[in-house]
Amino acid sequence: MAIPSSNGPLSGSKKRKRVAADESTRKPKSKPKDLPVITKAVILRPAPKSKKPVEPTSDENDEEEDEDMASGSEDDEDDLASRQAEMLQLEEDIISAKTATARTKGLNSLLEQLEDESEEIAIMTAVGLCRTFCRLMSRGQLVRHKDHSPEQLKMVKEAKETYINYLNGLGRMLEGGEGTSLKLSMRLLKEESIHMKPSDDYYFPFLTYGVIIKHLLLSDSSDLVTVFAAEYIYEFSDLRLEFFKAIPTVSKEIPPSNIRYSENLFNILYNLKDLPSTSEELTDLNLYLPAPTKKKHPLFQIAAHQRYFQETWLTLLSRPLPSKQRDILTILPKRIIPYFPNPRLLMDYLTDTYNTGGVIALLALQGLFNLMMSHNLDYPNFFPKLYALLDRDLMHVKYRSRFFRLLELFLNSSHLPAVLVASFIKRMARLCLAAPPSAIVTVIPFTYNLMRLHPTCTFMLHRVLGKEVDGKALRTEGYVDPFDEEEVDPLKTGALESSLWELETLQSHYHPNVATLAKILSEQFTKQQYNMEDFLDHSYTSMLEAEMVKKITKDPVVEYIVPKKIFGEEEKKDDDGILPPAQNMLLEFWDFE
Amino acid sequence: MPSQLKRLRESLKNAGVIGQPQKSKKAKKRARQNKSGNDARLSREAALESIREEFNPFEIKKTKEKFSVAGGRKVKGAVGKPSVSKQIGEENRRKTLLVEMQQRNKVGGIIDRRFGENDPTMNPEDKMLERFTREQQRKSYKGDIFNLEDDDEVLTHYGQSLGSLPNDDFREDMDGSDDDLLRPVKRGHPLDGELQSDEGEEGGPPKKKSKAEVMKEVILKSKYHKYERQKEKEADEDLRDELDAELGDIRALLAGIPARPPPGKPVVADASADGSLHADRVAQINSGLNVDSKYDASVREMTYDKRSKPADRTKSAEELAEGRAKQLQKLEKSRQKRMRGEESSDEEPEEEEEAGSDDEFGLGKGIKLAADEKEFVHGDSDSEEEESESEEESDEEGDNGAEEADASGPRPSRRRDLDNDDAYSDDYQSDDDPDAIASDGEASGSEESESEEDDLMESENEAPASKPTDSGGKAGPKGDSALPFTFPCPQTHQEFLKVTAKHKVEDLPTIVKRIRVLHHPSLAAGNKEKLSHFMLVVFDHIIYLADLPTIPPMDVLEILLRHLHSLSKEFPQASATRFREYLQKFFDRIGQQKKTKRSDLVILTALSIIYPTSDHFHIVVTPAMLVVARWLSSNAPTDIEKLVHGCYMVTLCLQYQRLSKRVIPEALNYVYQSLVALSPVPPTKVPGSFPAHGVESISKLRISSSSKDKLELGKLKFREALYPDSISNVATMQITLAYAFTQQLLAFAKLYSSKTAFLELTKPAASMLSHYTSPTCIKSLPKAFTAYINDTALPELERLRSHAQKFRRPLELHHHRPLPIPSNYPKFDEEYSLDRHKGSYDDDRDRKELSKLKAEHKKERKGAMRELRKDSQFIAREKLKERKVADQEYHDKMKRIVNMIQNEEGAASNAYEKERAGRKKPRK
Repeated sequence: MAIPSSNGPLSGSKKRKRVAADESTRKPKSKPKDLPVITKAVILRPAPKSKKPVEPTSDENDEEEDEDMASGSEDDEDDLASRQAEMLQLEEDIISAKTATARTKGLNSLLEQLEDESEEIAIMTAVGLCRTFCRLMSRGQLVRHKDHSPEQLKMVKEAKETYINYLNGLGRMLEGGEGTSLKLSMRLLKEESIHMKPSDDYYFPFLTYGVIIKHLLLSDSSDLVTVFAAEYIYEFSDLRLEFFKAIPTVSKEIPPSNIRYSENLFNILYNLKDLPSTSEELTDLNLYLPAPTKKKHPLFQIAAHQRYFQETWLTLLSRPLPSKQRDILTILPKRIIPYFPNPRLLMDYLTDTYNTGGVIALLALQGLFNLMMSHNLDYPNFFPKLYALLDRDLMHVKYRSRFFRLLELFLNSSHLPAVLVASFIKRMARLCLAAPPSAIVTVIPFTYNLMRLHPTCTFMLHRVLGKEVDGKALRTEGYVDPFDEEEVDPLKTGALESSLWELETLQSHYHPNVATLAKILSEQFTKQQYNMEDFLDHSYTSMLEAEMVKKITKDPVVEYIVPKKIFGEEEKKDDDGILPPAQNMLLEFWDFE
Repeated sequence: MPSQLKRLRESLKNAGVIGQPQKSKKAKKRARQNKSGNDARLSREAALESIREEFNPFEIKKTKEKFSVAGGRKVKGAVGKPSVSKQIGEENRRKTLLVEMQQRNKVGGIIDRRFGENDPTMNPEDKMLERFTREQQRKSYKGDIFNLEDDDEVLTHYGQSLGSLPNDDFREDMDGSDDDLLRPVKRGHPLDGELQSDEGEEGGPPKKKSKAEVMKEVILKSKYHKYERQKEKEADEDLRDELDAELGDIRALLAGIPARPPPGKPVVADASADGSLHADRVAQINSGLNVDSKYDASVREMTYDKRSKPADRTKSAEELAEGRAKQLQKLEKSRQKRMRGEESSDEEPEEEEEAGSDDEFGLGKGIKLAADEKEFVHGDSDSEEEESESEEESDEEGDNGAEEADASGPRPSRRRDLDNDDAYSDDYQSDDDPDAIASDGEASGSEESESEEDDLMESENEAPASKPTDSGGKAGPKGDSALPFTFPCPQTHQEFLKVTAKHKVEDLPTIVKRIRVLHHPSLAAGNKEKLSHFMLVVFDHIIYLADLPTIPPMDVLEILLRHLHSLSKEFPQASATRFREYLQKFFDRIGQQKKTKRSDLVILTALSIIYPTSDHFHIVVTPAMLVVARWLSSNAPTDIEKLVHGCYMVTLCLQYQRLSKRVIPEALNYVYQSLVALSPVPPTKVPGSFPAHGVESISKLRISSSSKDKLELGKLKFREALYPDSISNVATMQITLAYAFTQQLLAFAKLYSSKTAFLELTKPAASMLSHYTSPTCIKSLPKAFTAYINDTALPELERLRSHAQKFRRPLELHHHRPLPIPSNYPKFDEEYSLDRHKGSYDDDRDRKELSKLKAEHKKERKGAMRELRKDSQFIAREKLKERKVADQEYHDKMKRIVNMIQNEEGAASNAYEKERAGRKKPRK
């Protein structure tokens, strides 16, 4: 036992990987390679007893496929082979058992084995059980039938109970991140949909699916979730729809504090792309289960898809997930809102995030704007909150250009009071005093545009004081800036009475282009508007690149005088005091000796 | 308007049909002579005809104007002569179209080009005469060019005919046996005006001579000259010997004057003349011929030598100071111009053309502005730039001029010769040190230049040894003695390292200096390139030295930097390129969050010294500023190392902007952030609007109370702060840093005190400083520091702030002439006329052109259509005419035939009747 146990996890994981990744593609084409294994399995298994009255012809195929699956776990080691043989015997017994007790006993023993410490054996057992249940299902021994005898009914009932237990067992394996279990459970799902339909038409085993989803989403392994999402959810429309349907109910069972669950769900939803947006796209679907015959089935209704999509998202949004909020908000306008039948339901979420302030609020702004524009959302106190977003970090965050694009939209109306616009201008100007050049470059043309739109604001650039001002006080105390930095309400800041000294100061910015750009404010306003798009996306890198592109054509000016001392004080000579040498700032603060 | 009758009479009178013709008798006579009576009658008829036509009301068609419109409009086509124009059209068509029509489907034919053949009015005599003259003319045209015989023109050279010039050549050919050596001297130089040959004058008047005559003359002349020379030769021989013997003395005299040969003169000649003086004599004895030719050459060259000028007077100290001050003032003026951005910065004119309106603000891709915004971008219009450029040039010229004038003696320009031994020192002084320029002068200024001996090249063993206290001071001279005097010029840093591996660091300046002297550009052709490579090597070596784990002697580094500076002056482009490359790399490293190296700081320092950082735009400084700003904004003060680097960077910002006082938001932000991070207790609310980057919550940098002890506040020590191993006491360092930042804050405040937003800029400073003096902080700060803040920094800041507040006024930026309201009422045009087309009043030139073209096209099209229509009508008419003619012919023919037949028939019937009557008769 020592050898297999040491080998066990390794080979097991190897196998799992292969099963998880390859099985779906391998199945149809790799028959020849697997052939010897099948024969071996067939030899090992005693011939099926012909007691059963009717054996569906498809059974043989199923069994073969079962073997195919089983072949993954039965391999080299003899020990395992013997256990396998044992298990196969047990399976046969279970299937051929005539009494409820016998069958239940067999099943329970297998279930116990499922809890085995050895992963190898557990997987093998899971595979065996899956095979057993599939066969039971195909023989109709998991469904009650009216001409069943009481004994048979009991058998069915007990088999069903064990089946549920088995499912839970599989779920636990899923939580452990076991790849084979995912495969098995999806296979059971398929079998169930075929053999356990209550009526003739389409049946989706949603209970089983719910169990699978629940356990899967609780799993630690994000790999498994990704595999599940990529191979099933994104691939098959019916699985996706049922997934959406199941999430709200499943989520009720999981406490909101479970971050693992929320993150897994988020990962699946975040990468979900190309959802159908019209009914036409729903005609030729890729389905996991046989398609329903009815044309009006919800699977073919775009409304149903969208409704469940919306519910799923709302479920996720109702759970706290602070780490992913940024991502959610980023994809919200493009990939979520359009698919919502009723985007107004996002209102609460967006309002809450917006109220938190900071970068998150910047991002929520876009969603809110969408809602306001297309869904008639009335947002009280919008401008004060927008004003509050202009904080000290705004000019330095990555989403600056995104925010300014929106801000341009918001302030573009000429019906806004000039007082409000002035407050925004003044606030931006203040921020510019501590902003990188790329941000200043955005603000100046923006200010220009706003001034063109609200000519009253030009008083901030040009104000000749009249007689109403006390000349004496002005002479002694100067002009006191009426702008109140701390004021929250943009209508009360008094910015309109202030002046834009900040932007005037930026005319002596260290970057020559910024300085010249700032000069447009003191020129005559002859241009109608600047196109903001040209000024939004700049950075240090782009600006340096612009500098570096310039070629040296003329000899650059070099200081004529080579100073006698760089790292030390020059000895004073008083032969001429005409031009005192410019003070060396380096020596003011640094001692180089 | 006179009546119809009056007008008729007037025109008849004018035509001379009625009334007394008022002609002089002569005229009358001539007229009578000219035309015979018949002719007169003919012309009279013609005149009458034209008058008749003029007054025929049916020939003129008038369109009646319904209303007369104001503006004196002329309506086109109001009056016309349809029949006349029709007639003309018809005529033209008959000439062209009809001919074509008739020649259709016909190939070939002969066109008769004989003169007057189709003119029946000419007499055959006239015809023949005219034909003959034409033929003669044609002939003469063709032959003219190649006809040498009757050529009156003479080819000339300098106004003399070529025939007289080659006399000398002929003569030379003739007396090939001549061995006279002096002849070349006699002949002189062709451009030497005084020695211009007499022969030229002789041949001056262009007298025609035959070839034989000329030859004869030449022979005679040469013979005469030969005799003459032979006679002179003997006489001269003695005299020449005498002179040759004295030549040495003359030369000595010439050499005594420190005259330098003019620029561009070949060096060899002088040198050989100089060096081989005695050899000359020997050679003279051995072979007179060779020497003489040499002598001739040298004499000839001496004629070109500039007259030696009297040396400039030695300048007095005041004059020197004045010159120097002037120089400095000039430099300062041009610097200020650049600072204001008035001077044309590099490549602007070209860029404006090529970039168009694409990138006016130079912000990089995607920025567009309308063309009318150009002036914002560069601050100037082109003309101004050009002007300033020319000004600059003239400044430079002035500089050169000043230089030359200042210097005592004939001032050597850079391309002067090497024969002067002390060329190097001179050159470098002029390059490196304006003091030297002013005080230069080999003879007089020596004391002074020695006293301020700091010149890189002059002071042989001075550099490291200048500080005797230094450890290297002693090593200096010793090292010198061991140092070889020649080094190869290393082209890569590896080579340089190999070269210097054996020597001490202290010897580096000497080595660099010797390399520079040895490979001075004027010494060999490739040296310039070599030195420019060597500059890059120096650059690399500075980086290498700065990044060494142990600190190199600062004065070595300094001298290397100064070498880099003076080399940069020689090769500005190469050095700028290198600096820019370095900046790009450094920038990339900042982006990758790599560690900042000491060399980065040193290079940025070097940049601040080498380039004028106050320029509005500078190809090196502007990127450097961006790089520093990027560093400051992306390296929040989170640990002590970053703080130290940041402090240095902020210092650099101050250094860069010490003159131009430009605002650097990043630097201020950094100072505030650092003060927040260093403060013993975090401020309750971070003041101002600078980005906090969470520094208020970093606790490891806070000055703790444990460090409170007796502490001398001092400058940051480069040696300690930037070499992390030597940071002895973090707590002390923190205090020093805080002190430095406070000082920098104050320096910024002073720098920006004139800015209108000074209050806003320094608001966080005030609150930060007062936070430092709050009771919670004060207890963990050393006394000296709090005293500094309380006594110096805060009051100073407050003073500046209150001053700024006092002089704060609302902005008044828009004192422009008010923009005229766009007016749309019609512009009144004095010369407005309805006749001019509406389109011609269009202001838009392109549109005007277009509408003009359109109208023209329309007109042409209509005209062409009309012509075509008329053509086809004409053709139809002509065809009809033809057919009519043909039909007529046919009819006539038929008629004739019918007539003939009828005649015959009639005759026949007559005959028949006759016959019958004849037959009846006999019956009767």
